[in-house]
Amino acid sequence: MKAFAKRPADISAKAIEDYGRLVLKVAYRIIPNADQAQEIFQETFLRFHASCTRGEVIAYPKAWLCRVATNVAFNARRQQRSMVGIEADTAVETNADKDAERQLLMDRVRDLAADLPERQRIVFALRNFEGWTFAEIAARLGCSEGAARSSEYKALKKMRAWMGTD
Amino acid sequence: MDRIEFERRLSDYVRGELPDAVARQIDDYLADHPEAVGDIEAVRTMLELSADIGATEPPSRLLAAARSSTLKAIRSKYERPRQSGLWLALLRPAWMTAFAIALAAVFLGVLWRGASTPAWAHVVEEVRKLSSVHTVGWFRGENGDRVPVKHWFQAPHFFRAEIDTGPSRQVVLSDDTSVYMNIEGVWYLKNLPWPGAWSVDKVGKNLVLPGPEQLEALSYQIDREDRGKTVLFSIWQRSSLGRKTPSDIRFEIEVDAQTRLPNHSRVYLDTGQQEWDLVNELNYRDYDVPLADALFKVADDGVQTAPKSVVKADPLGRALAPFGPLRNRVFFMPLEGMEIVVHPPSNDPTKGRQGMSSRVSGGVVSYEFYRTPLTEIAQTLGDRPVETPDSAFSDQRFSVRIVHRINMDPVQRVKRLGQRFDFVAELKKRQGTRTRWIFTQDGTDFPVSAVRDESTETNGYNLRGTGTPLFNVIRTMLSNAAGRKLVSGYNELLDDVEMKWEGPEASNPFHRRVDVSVDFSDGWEVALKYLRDNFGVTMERISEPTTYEVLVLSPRKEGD
Repeated sequence: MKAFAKRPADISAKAIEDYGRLVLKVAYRIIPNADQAQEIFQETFLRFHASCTRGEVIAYPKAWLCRVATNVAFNARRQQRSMVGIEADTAVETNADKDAERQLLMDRVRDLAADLPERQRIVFALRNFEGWTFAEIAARLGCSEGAARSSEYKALKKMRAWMGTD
Repeated sequence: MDRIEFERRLSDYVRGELPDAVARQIDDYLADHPEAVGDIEAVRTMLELSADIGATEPPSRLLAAARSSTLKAIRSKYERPRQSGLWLALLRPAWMTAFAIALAAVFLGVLWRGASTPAWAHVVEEVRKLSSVHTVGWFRGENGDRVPVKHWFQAPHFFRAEIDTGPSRQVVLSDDTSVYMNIEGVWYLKNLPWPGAWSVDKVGKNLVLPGPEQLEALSYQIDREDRGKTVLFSIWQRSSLGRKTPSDIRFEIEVDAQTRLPNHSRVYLDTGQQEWDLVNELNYRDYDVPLADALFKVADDGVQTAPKSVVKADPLGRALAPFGPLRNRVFFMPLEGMEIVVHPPSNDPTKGRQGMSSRVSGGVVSYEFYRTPLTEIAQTLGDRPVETPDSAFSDQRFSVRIVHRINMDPVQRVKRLGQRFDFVAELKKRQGTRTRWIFTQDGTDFPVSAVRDESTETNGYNLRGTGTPLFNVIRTMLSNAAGRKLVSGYNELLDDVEMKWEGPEASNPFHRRVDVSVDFSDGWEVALKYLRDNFGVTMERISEPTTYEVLVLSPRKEGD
């Protein structure tokens, strides 16, 4: 990618400019807390920058950043859930369109997704939180469309089973 | 269409993304299998909830803040201060060249010093290169007095600490396998419970803030103040509950600007009154000066195996506390055995859910409670059930940090809590049933983990781990299963969990570290089968009447 053949600092600055909004959305959807989403944002781009300084060429920054942000956010969710629970922003909790019970169910879906194996949770999140098509997911994750579908199918099956045990 | 095909197509069907012909096949399948309608509803619910999550938007101002803080973080982490811009600006206009050269001469010293001003990462890097270091200082004792302490580190893995003077003097030595502790003139030996000894390199590693490879629940703020020949770094660490409560520890380290090595360090603890207590100071001396071998050897032949009281008091942890403020957190001996720091908010329900974390280090237990009912705090500290006949306690929640000596009597802990929160705790006896959960190993062999560092993850319904002692596996599974209501009748405060083994202690199978991966969301029977099939462990329950103690809390009255 010619656009990214620059100094690491310039590459990172451009990536933050171009994909910052997307990364923040990915983070915030998994952990709806402004402080923590900001930390995930920073962590994602620090990793991106570290890769650039090591001389790695990231051919598809959008896919790379989404995948890393998804992983970092789900990891943080698991880690904090086991310790103190996730504290959602008050603004989200009191959204008139979504009552408290709905919020709890959404949190449950986030938690269930966090417990999935890596490939399944990324496919599930990109497909269902971010609205990517299976074709996009397959192209960006380097797998076949069938494999992406299969990952989502397995993810949904597990999540339904886990949901049923609550 | 069969069941497998139906399941594969479910989500596309719910999303309306199937070709008409395939959708009709699903309709036909549903007509033949009405019980599958529930599956459609479950997937629909899951996808609707996911779509709601996908519609969640971050606050509008957050993006700018995140961008700015990230660019700043990248600059501070990866880029050294750049002075060339100033030079170019001065030199660009030809008529200013002479002036620039003169000015450069005046500022040369300042600019050079600026270019060599170390970042925190440089300090860590330099410390890790050392072959030896000696420190002299003090830390706050239990009575608020300053206890003198000296440390010596010698690469690759020798450590010595001398704590206090006179009859209370303690000496701690460690190498790559053992810890020797001299307490009241007697040498005790203990094998290191973890791989890797304490070393200069490890001191450096403990100073490393979380890097791009890891996201810690704890977060830090680092301030740097250039003071000419020295640079002062102040590092603020958030509490164990992250952003819920204010910073509870501040670490200051003064660094020589040229050598990038520490001169002096201080540790402060939050008092809860918007003040900081200085609890430790160290002067760093004698970098890379060869140290005498005798410093790291035990002269006395009469070394005894450390008894439990010595192991529990953890003199090594205490001696090393000043070197782990950013990794292991520092817990200095609390004044008069126990300290309580109360933080707002307490009863405000808009401030999020309750939480709790605890840590043990250097003979001290530290708890962070966030918006936790007072009765739960008392139960945790008192290690027995709590009764509250008075409804005054029912809605009292507090955010509080409590630190106590590990050997402090649990009832005394609750009484101290009562002094702070105006209640009286009384110990009473009750009749009830106690269950013994007895686990027996049948003697069959099972694979031992190749990993020594324990790492365990659970979501309550599963357990995945490496290097986990078998007894921990069993206890965690039982506790989680009880918490998720997969097993009934388990009362953590009253019941006994027994690991029955009649052979020699050295070959006790329950102490072996194992790798484990089990999902028992289908019930406790699955957990039992896993233990039986993989480790030859079976369980029996014996319930018997018992008398147990409870703590009865009541509001303090005048004269109490």
